[in-house]
Formats: sequence, C-alpha cells, structure tokens
Amino acid sequence: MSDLNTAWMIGGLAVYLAVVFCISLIVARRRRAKSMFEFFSAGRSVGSLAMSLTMFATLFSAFTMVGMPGFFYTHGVGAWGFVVFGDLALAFVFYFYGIRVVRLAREHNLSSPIELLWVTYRSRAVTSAAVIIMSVFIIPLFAIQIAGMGKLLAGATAGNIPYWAGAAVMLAAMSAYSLIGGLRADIWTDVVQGIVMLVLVVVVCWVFIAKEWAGSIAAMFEALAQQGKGAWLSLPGPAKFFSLPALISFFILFLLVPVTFPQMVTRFYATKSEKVVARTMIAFPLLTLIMFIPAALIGLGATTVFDLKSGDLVMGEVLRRYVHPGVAALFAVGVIAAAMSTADSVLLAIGSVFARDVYAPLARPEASEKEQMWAARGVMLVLMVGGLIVALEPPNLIVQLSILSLEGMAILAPVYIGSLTTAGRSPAAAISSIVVGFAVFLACEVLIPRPWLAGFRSGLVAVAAAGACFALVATIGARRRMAAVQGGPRDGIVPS
Amino acid sequence: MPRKKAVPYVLLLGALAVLALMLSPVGAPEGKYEPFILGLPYTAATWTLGSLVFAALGIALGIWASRQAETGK
Repeated sequence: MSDLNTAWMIGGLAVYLAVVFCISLIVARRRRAKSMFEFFSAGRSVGSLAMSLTMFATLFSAFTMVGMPGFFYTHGVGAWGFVVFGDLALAFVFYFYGIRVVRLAREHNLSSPIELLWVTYRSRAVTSAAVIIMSVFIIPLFAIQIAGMGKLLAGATAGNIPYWAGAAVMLAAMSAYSLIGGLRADIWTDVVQGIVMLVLVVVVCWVFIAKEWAGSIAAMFEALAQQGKGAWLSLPGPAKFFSLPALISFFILFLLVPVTFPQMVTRFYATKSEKVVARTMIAFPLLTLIMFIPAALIGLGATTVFDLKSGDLVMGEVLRRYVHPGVAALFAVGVIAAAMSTADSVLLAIGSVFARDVYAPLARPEASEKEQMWAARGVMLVLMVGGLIVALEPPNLIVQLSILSLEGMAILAPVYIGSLTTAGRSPAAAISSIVVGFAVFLACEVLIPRPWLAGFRSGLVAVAAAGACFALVATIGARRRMAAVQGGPRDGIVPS
Repeated sequence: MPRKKAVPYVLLLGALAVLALMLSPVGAPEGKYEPFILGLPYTAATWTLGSLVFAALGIALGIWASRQAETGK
C-alpha cells in the first residue's frame, strides 16, 4: 500500500477519528461512566445490532482484512476451512456458553472476565493463574496491534507519517475514548469500525471483479481453470499447507475464542438480555460470510492476475491497480479501524481485570468503586505507554506470544466451561488444569518435535490435556466429597 | 428430554454432520480442475454449499433461542 496518496490517507483518517470521537462523546454525555457497572459493563443495556457488530469488530482484527486475501492467494480455498468454519459455528458457542454467562453476569453483577471464575471457584489461586495466562498471551497481542497500526500508516503514506507518530496518535485516540466512555464507548465505536470494515471489503472486491472479469465470478473461476490452478481450489492446497489435523485444530481453537478471550467475555456481560445473544447468533454467521466471501474472491482472483513474492502484498496490489486512491486510503483506514477495535477491547478488559481481580482483592480490599475505576484507568495508561514502547521495536518474544495468543488462551477453556457446570466447580481441578495445560503447551512449542504432534497444533494438544486433567481431578474430588458425606455419619464424625 | 429442549441438540448434530461432509475432501487426490457442481471442483463446491447450510443452522438456532427468550422459557 506504499503508493497511497498521503493527503487522502490523512483526510480519511481525520474524518474517521472525528466520527469515532463524536460517537464516544455523545455516549459519554448521555450516560456518564461513573460506576464500575457502567464503565466495565455498559450498564448491561447493549442491544442486538450493537452487540452483533461489536462482537464482529472485536473478533476480526486487521489480519482478516489484509492477511486473509493473502492467505487465499498463497494457500487456496483451504484458508476457508482454516477460519470460516470455526467462525460460522460460533452461533452454537453463543447458545451453549454465552447465554449462561449472561445469566451468571446478572446473578452476580460481574464486571471483569476473571470474576466469572471467582464467583464459581472462590479461589484466588485459580483467578491468579488465569490472570497470569491472560497477561502472557493478551498483553503482547495489544502491543502488536499498536505496532501494526504504526507500520500501516507509515507504509501507506510512504513514510510521510513516521512509524512512531502513527502508533502514538492511534494509541492516544483509542485510549482517550476508552478512558472517558468505558465499554459503552468501545462498543459504539466498534459499531462504526465494523461497518467500515464490511463496506470497504465488499466495495474493493466488487471493483476488482468488475474491472478484471466484468463482474462475473464464474469468469474468475474459469480463469483459474484455464490457468491450471486447480490446486488452489482443492486440498491440501498448492503449498500442501492444509491437513485434516491442522483444520480440526484451528476449528476448535476458533470456537474457544469467545470462551476465553477477556474482551469477548466482557461483551456477554454488557448485553441487555438473553434475547440479544440469540439475535447475535442470527447476525453473526451473516456478517462472517459478508466478510470472508470477498476476502476469498480477492485472494483467489489475484492468483490469476498477479505474480507476487508474498501473499501479504495482495491487498496493496489490488488497491494500487484497481481502485481510486481515495477508496484505497479509506481501506487503509478500515484496516486501522479493525486493529483499533481489537486493541481498545483488550485495553478495557485488562483494566477491569487488574482493578477487580488484582488491585481490589489483593492490594486494597477496602477500595471503593471509584478508587477501583481510577486503578483501572491507571493500569490502562501504564499499558498504553508500555504498549507504545514495546511497539516501537517489538522484541521477538512479544511477536511470538501474540501469534500464539489464540492457542495459549485456549488453555483456560476447561476452567471457564467447568465454571458453568455444578459438578465442575472444583478449585483443585481448575488450578491443576491450568498448570498442566500451560506445561503441555510449553513442551509442545519448545521440546517436542513437530512430527510427534501428527499435524495437530500445540494449543489443541494443550487444551485436550488441560480438559482431561480437569475432568479427572473434578471427578476424584466429587467422589471423595460423596464418600465423606456418606461415610461421615456412619463413623459418627460430624463434618464441621 | 422434552421435545422443545432437544431442538438445539438436533441442530448441533446437523451442524456436526455438515462439518464432517465439509472435511471429507481433505486428503482427496485432487489438484486438477474437475467441475463437480456450480462449475467448481469438489472441495470448493462442498465448502461453498456446506458453509451456507452451516450458517443456516446457526441462524435457525438463533431464531429458536430468540423465540424461547421472548416466551421466557
């Protein structure tokens, strides 16, 4: 995207930021985020449309807009199975998991994603372990989103907006509306960001197909056939990337995102009612298809017209050759919007976790609500500054951890799912599951040779181990409790 | 289990069946362009249709859950 006109880029960005700020100011003026309940849970008043779009914008980061067409270009149709199957199945996760979380959030007045574990396990060891896992895998993801925004702005304006300045401005903008308006501002800016993402992907795809194949998708597939590119339309793909274990791994790992990612869990807390989650289930598969069909068409179509060194260059090439510089600049703004919508949600979720699950219970048990909110804002500011410093030159470890966030966070899945079942509410099972899951994940990534995993991802192996451990310890615990209850009175010992 | 409560599980089973169908092309000896349906080869065709059915099952579950929430059940 290096040839984008700087003036278009700056203009588009200014308009976008102005719109986002206006929305957050209107939201903040209408409902001031004075209480924890309002700041972190948007007063549990978010409706169906806003919930669908915020879930969508939070889940799909900049990778979806730029990386997915590149993935289709490099690996063919297998990229569909890599992501889309899992995303389409999220409606089932929303039903079997999300609705129960909504009920628990109302019952216990939950604000932070870790509080869900506290009210069910009543163990600081469990919540502390969950906070550690979240910090290891989610904070790097935040820093990398900042770095991505800076790089994109620098690349799109051929360096006219320096990398550090782009990252700093976007971070400042994002932090400002999050600090002022809390989750409600985040959600309403997500609505704008989600619409911007969807419209731009569809427009760019439509212009590409219209100009290259006179608007005929069938002609595009014919071009693929004539060029002998059947490998792009079949498995395992031209680079033999997609195997059955890899597809199963990614399908399950994507399903677990709403279960374990803090920014997704907090969105369930904000819903007005269970009906909102049900309606989100209707909208989400449609939004997924609207997003990914254009991405697939752009990537597959590009294989017939470009000969690029890397799939990452596909979107830049399509924008440069086929669309007006203004649309290209807007698309870059859309990519930034996608990164912002993910990063602001992470920022707020981490703020809530540190205020509610670290500061209040461990450092200042007597802290008032107001004090906890200021603690959350303080943590968010520290995270902002830290994120910017890391983003200026991301260490390799941070980059690796952000890439592994999808797999690493899955370790917490058995603990979150177990918390919704009466039989699974065992702190011993939860803590052992987290420890075993993390150990297995580390072993798979560092020690065990890849061929031993038979094509399965380390995250899936770790979550399977964590799940088995959770089930085993919970079952043993339940049997012991049962034996104690049955055996106690016979032995004449009354449990205290 | 009451018939109404079985609806989500029936839809889930349907989704799993469609998923199994969609994963069936994995490992098939393809690589040549042999139209199967809609001018697409087997993998692309089954994935296109399968994804639509998969999405429809999710939407059906959403509609059912929404009605249940309305009636407070």
